[in-house]
Amino acid sequence: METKQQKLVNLVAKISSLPTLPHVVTKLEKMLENPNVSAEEVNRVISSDQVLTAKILKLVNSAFYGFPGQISTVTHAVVILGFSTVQTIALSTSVFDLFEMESKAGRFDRRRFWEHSIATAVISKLIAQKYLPADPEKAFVAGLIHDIGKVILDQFLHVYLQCIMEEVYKDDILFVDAERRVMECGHDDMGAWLAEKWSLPIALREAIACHHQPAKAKEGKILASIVHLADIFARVKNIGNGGDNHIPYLKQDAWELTTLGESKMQEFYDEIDDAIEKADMFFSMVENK
Amino acid sequence: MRKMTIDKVQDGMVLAKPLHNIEGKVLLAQGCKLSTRIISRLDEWGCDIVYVEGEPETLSEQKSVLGYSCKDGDVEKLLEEIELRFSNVSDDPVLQMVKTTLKEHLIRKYGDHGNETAETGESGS
Ligand SMILES: [Fe+2]
Ligand SMILES: [Fe+2]
Repeated sequence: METKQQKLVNLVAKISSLPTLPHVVTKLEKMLENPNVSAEEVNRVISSDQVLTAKILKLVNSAFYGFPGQISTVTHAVVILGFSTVQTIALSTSVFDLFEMESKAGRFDRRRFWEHSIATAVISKLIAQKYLPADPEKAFVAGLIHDIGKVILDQFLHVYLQCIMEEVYKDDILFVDAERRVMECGHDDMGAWLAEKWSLPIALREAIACHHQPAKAKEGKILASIVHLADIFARVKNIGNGGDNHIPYLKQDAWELTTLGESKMQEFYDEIDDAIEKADMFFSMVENK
Repeated sequence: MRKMTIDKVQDGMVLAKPLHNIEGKVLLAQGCKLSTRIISRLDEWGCDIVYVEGEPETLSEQKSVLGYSCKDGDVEKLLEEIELRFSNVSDDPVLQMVKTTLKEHLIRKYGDHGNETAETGESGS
């Protein structure tokens, strides 16, 4: 019998041209490993890409980062917000650009999908800042690309996606459950595989691979738990749509890692509303494409 | 209502939603007519997106429906929708608590205090 890994390899072998991250973003990812990198150096790398520079400046000046309209250069952004925030922004806008926004024929709505992804990113960051301490920037990125395997399916293995969506609608079930009926590896494996191709850090890859079963993660357990919960709360708050219409089961062990509980929920929902509203620029970027 | 980034705003457009600064303070009230002078200052005030009167002319000008929308203040209907969304996880105690607190949250947001919804209900309008 073929292993799950082989199944994945066979499947992705059908993909002819895989989307790759822009050179600048990959370079930033490497630079992040060096703690002594200067704002000037970061600026030099980013400035080589004019379009990216403009997008970064637009986002750093949005309400989401707390300094609206006050940041005029990339160097300034790095000094105020830190390198890892700027790198997150560079990666995020590049990811939007890799895929077309127009949905292909069928039931999978790409814009609603990206809304789900941005909401998951925003909520992941919030959880990491307040309820389950972790690097908020990593949490944001992990949330943003947790379901990226679904877009790969839609773009490159469309027949599979169509079968999955048919199952979802026929029996009103969750995307993951429908996926299991159609193929043996899932969007989580596929997303993690892409993240590896993109040389993203192991914790991030694990968070993607295990966002439906955070207990299976090792180095990325915290991050996977955060994304698992944020994914559910994006659905609870009905923001965007990842392909189905139900709330999936919440993994108890992930929940227990957080300080969330009944008495904190009202505050948490208000914080989500507030953060989502401030993230308007991200949503606009998806809508305007 | 049309949603647009500040670079697309033109002289004479009318605000369909109040304009807040980052601290949530109202800078310009709903119904305010935007002059060239005001438009040139939007950037300094840290505004990036504004909502103006009129029918959306492009897809991007439509405000996306983020979160629940409460049409005509019909909270009951919203609560029914919640029941439906949670119907497959009725045996999960944490999610039951999530459902109950979510309902409280939505009642607080859209219920009794009808006139406050314009302020707090933005993500769902
Ligand atoms: Fe998923
Ligand atoms: Fe998801």
